[in-house]
Amino acid sequence: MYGVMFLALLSSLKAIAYKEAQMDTKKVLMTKMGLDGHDFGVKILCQMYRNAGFEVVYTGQRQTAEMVVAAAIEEDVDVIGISTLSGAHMHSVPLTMEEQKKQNIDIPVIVGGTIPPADVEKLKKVGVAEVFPTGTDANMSIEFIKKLPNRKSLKRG
Amino acid sequence: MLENKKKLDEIKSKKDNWEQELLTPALEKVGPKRQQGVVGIGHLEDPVKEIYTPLDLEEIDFDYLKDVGFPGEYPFVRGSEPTKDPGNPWINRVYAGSGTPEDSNKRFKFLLKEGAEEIVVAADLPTQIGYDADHSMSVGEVGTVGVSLSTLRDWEILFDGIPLNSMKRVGILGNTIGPIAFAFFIALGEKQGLSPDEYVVHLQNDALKEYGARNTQFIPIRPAVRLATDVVRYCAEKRMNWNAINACAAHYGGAGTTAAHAFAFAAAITYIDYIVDKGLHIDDFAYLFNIFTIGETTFTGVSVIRAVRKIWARMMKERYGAKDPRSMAIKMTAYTVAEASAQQPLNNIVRIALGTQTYALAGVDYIFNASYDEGLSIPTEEAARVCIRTQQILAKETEIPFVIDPFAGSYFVESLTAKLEKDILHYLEEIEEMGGAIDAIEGGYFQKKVVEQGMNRTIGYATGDKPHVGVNCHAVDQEPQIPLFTQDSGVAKKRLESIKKIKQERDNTKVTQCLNKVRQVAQTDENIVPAVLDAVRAYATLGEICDVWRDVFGTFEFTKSYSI
Repeated sequence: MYGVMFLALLSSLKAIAYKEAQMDTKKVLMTKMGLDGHDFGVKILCQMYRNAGFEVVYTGQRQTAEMVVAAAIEEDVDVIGISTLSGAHMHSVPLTMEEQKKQNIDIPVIVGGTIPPADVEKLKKVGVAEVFPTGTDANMSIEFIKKLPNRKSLKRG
Repeated sequence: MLENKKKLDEIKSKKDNWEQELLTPALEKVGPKRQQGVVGIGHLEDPVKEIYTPLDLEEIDFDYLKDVGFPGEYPFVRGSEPTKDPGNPWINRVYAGSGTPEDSNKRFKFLLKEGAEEIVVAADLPTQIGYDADHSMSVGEVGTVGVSLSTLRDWEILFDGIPLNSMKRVGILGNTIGPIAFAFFIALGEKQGLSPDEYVVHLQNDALKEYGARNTQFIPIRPAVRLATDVVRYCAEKRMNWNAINACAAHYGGAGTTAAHAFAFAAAITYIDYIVDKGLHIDDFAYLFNIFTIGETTFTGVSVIRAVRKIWARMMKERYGAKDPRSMAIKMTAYTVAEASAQQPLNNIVRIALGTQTYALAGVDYIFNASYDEGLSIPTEEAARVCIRTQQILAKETEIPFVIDPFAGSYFVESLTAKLEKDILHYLEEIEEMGGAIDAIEGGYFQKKVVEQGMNRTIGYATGDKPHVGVNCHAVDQEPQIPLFTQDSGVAKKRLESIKKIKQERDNTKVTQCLNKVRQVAQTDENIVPAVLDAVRAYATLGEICDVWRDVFGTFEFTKSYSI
């Protein structure tokens, strides 16, 4: 629906300390899966994450679980961010988690968008690190990503 | 003339005095004001001024007859018709659909009972992207954001007990499946015993908008333009009084209202040039166009819509040599979504009502509005009813329907109309220098503008420069909970069974013949509509027809321009 596109932005609305944003070298893979085409919100989030100092790779849309996981491995990212507005999250997100297991990796996955309250716990049960439904302050996802372990440094260590 | 000059000099001198003696000390008392540098969602270099006077009309060289004129007359700034019936000032549309055709049929009946005058079918994403419910790409998406529709049987169920002529109009987006959506409406009419002149279909069918912003495209951009214009040509040849294309500014709203309308004009030019190249005269088909506007804040909205009517009229007359006033008088569609928030969602009722009021004041012809819960889920019945009531209250309880273009002559609105017109034309010139809408989209220009301006808005909200009540100010600790619509979890299964059944029951030899014909015509320059119509009548599925298109035209590839 139209409204969804505009509301997607809401996940990025509340106060973000832009200028004070501390640089952080986390690498984030942002993606849209399946047929979900409303990409305004995800593009804005990519920009905001860059402003917060993250390195951002946006896969574009119509991605499958296999494509997302392959890109995450290829890009060696610290976190996968799935933006979902089409209601297909209970299909696409669990598949992504399964694909990670198949590939023997465990990159944290965060999910944002139009997610009914009842699905938040279900997503966490399949291993999603955090869910940011429409209306969440984008700063919360930035802070959440900052606190994640830096995979590259772990590997080096 | 001299008399006029003397009067203006006097106003200027009195205004200077007022500024010095009254305004300056008053401003000192008020303290630093938040500067409204952005009018609504448009963007202007100049901030809004304290007051507007006849001097502002002088600045734009305002000429009533040339710049405004009368309703129903060139340049149609005041509207496409001489007047409006205050009992029916615009068409009250509702965008609806989810789950199975049976589920949506129930919802449609509810909405019509509540007073909706036009149903705009919301199809699910697989349907919009040309996949049947049983395709692997459809898994998880069947019936979620719209109704799943694959065959004519689904349409028969969707409008069971709802004759197409019982509504003032009936519509669908169908931007990249235009000819198929169109064919479904004709074939459904036949099933209901109606000929196309007995009902009116309002198609969006703006293929380019999908490539530029909305992303349901599945074949390359040029054949998509051809398919969209085939619908226009078919309507023109049959002299059908339907809306064949809605050139969309909506959905580019993030880019600012003037850029968004320039994108709509650029798309319209692309379609028109294509059709003119096929040998049609502008007056044969321009009346089939409609503009899907955007601009909800009162003054920007009213002004931009007035400016758009004028630009269209001039473009038809001067650029395309239109003679028929019908070609020059553009009708407008608008959808109110407002800066809706997930926080304190009931506030959205107020926001949406105000946006809807803007469109009513601007004399928009076809209005629909989002429900207050739309960002959270498919609307509940109650939320959808509030949409309809919002429009009914504006139409029946206010003065708005009685006076045409009430802001005409306002120093502010006329000045803003002139500025917005200039800004739209400026963007349009930029796009034309790039080679037009297709090149601009392929180069990522539309997409980039939406993100750039969207980012400015986001920063405005983030820093608090742009207040958002209940979000960046007046927030509450405990968010109020509202009831949400829940989807029946068995939709996908039901849809698979339904498609399987229809494939067993139909004449599959005939379907194959029809699909072969679609393939054959797709490979030529001939109009695709008759072949698609025959396929639809034979119960070929939407996915089967789109597979033929994918085969003939190729599959769309999301290049870098689409992921800016």
